[in-house]
Amino acid sequence: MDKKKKIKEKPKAKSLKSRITKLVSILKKRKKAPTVKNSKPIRKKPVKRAKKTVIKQAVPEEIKFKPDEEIKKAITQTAVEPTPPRQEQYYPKELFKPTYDTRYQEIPAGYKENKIVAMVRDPWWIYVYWEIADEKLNLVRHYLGDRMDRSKFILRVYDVAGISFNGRNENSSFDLDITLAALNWYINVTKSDRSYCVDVGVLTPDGEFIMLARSNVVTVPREFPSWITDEEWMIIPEDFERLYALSGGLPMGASPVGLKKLAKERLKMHLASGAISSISSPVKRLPRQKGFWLAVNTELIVYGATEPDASVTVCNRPIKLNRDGTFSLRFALPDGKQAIPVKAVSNDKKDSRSITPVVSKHTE
Amino acid sequence: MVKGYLCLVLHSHLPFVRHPEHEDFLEEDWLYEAITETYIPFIKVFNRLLDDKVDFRITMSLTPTLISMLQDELLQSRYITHIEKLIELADKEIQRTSFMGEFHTLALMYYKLFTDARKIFVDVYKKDLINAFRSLQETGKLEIITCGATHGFLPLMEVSRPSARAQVLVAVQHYNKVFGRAPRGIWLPECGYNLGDDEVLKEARLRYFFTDAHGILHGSPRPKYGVYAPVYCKSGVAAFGRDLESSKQVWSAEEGYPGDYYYREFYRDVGFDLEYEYIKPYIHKEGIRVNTGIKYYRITGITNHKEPYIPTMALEKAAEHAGNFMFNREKQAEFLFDMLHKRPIIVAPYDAELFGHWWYEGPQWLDFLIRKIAYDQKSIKLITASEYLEEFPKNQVITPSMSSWGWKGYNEVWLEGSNDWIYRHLHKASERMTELVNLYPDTNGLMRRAMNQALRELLLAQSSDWAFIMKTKTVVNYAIKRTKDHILRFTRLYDEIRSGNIDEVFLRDIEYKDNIFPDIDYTVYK
Repeated sequence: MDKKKKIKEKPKAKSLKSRITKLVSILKKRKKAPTVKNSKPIRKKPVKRAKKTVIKQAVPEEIKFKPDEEIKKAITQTAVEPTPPRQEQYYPKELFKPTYDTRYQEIPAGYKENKIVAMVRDPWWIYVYWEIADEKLNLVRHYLGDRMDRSKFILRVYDVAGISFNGRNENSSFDLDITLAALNWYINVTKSDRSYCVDVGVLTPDGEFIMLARSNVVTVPREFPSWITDEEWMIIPEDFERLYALSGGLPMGASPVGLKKLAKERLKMHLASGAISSISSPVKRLPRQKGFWLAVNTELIVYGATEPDASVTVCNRPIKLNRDGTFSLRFALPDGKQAIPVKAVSNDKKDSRSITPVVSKHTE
Repeated sequence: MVKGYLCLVLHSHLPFVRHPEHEDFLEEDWLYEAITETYIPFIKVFNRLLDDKVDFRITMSLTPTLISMLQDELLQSRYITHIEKLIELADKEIQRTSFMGEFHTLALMYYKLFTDARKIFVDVYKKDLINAFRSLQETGKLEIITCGATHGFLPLMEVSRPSARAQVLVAVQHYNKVFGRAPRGIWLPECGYNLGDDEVLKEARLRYFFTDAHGILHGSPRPKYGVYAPVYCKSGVAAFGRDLESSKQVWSAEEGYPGDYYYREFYRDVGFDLEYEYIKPYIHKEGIRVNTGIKYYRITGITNHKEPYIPTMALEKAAEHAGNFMFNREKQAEFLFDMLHKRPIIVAPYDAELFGHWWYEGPQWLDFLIRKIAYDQKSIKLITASEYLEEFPKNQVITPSMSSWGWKGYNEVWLEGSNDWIYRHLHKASERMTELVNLYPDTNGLMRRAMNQALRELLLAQSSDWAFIMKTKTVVNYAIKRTKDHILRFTRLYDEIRSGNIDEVFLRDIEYKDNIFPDIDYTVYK
């Protein structure tokens, strides 16, 4: 239902509407004052308090005691629904616009803590983000003294597959030079199907490592099928290869060429369906036309007027007149000759007039 | 003789986009377009099949965000305004194209399409399309499954397990309330599975989920039947693997059906093509040209010159493609049956919005496919995952491998240079939510409202859509703003809850704006 139309039909609603507009404009005014207050950089007074004071000053006597409920009720009455709709349909935000708090304008760069978190990107890469508290860094600086300048920040990546890591029993480890301020890093872990743990820390020239923070343990998935088979569900390797090729969308009966190769093939042709989410398209879009270009189309406007109560057809199709009896129509105009018969018949069907403009167009 | 089963899965999802504070909001159009072009066409197809007594099985996930929007009164009334404007435009187009026969026919087609959509939306389903899906489910032909509450990508919640859990539990509770029964299965957001996620599904009493092919193929021990039979995780929840062969035929940008030259061209829309003053009332209020849904051309070829769309030709193509798809599945099923000595299940999942919205003829293709499977062959049968499990309750136990159906098959789409900055904040908020729940294991009144809203904000911030948009560079600013808004709203609530001083005006405002899951209970967060 077109609400606006309905409102027009109901004279009562119209007056209500104007009343609401009035109320809203008054309420808007009453918002203005607190905005000014809030624009001060530091607001020490409690917000609610500030607002209350302003209301007292700005709201005229007549609506001062109007409870919000009544205003909302007035607004909801303009609805055509038989049941009173929920008020957010009209979102009278002026009625409860929250105070603006500058502390929540932008998300913080960090949370003033000391930590590093690892996440899996795929079988070959993990991602870490970190944050090192100033106090921690100062302690290290103090401890290292003048050795600090000759030390560097590193990520120490431990392979901790199959063990409960205690900081010393890793299977292997490697270091990556970093800038501490980067705050995050992608790490190529080369071996899939392994577990990793990452320390961020300082490495001194004499090889001492001072850990600043240690990450959670992450396990990257395997990039190949598992080597483990179970007895109950035994499958011979050749059959599994065939099945693997099939399941991966490779042609039926493709000759077995080894699982590793197949896995790589599969990866190349992996169908990125997630990329085809609702808001992007699988249908290829052609690149924009290259170079200079021009497109020209023509349209024709046919307009006129008659008695407001007459009935009019254009090209034998009835059209709707404006209230004052005027009309205006628009046609896409192809090349060639077009006749546009316009016929008007009076309300009492006694009079009629016909006019037929003929238009011809050609493109050179 | 039946040689195998085909399980068609339509994943329907849109992020929660609802802006009562703006009169006209561009991104809300995603919903309105999908209603007209995807959801209503599907409902029409399914209802026609029922009328014609054609037996079929379709699995459809409806995400809690989508359901919430379809049931939201504000968005419902805005959709009516939207469709009425379109009807008005189509009416003008009938007039305008009087001298151009091919376009005139199309204008008439759109007029009928839009007036039908309005009728189905308003008169038949009383503005709530969930009514349609609910009654379709009651016929047993359609199985509706759930998804993450806000489509949060679980593999990147490894350090926030309580959030992964809340995504699932809130979704299941919501499903229960909407459909009056428990969901049997779940579509994991972006098909993203991480080790241990199945434990949460078990807790939520979900019987099955879907993974991408390599989730099963790289599982351990080796899956005897590849992706052609479900497996059980150690938790007892079943996992069904995606078949890539059938996906490719529909998805692939190069070889897929949707690229056929007779199909409708998505990128030529009157919103961009027509004279500005004429089209102005039907585009964005601020005069930004947008898609209207009236499109007159077919793909034509690899050319910028486009020929007019001919619906009858496109329909024939859809029938032909349905036949081709079925033929390939028959051959596939026969081959697998001989090889496995068991009826395979071929799982073919698609984004629902591909159909109708992008691939205009998609719903017709599905209609043809279902009818052909019912009448023109005997080797394959449509099935739901639940039915398959009833027939074959004994399955191999394996541990699936981490996987998703995103580009490259893992987490990179949602974790790369453009979007990796969000996780610091999402993880922190998750951690803080745990802290809040420990602080108030139970509470009431204003504090309870604040706690519930904090959970809503956290869930909304976790929608995988924001990271996805940042990566695909479509409406990046909007995605960044949404992430930040929800994080900031959460943070403010967190501070206020801890200080015991809730600003009720602020709370009320965000309860109005982010009104998803009115019955949410923050105590699920553990």
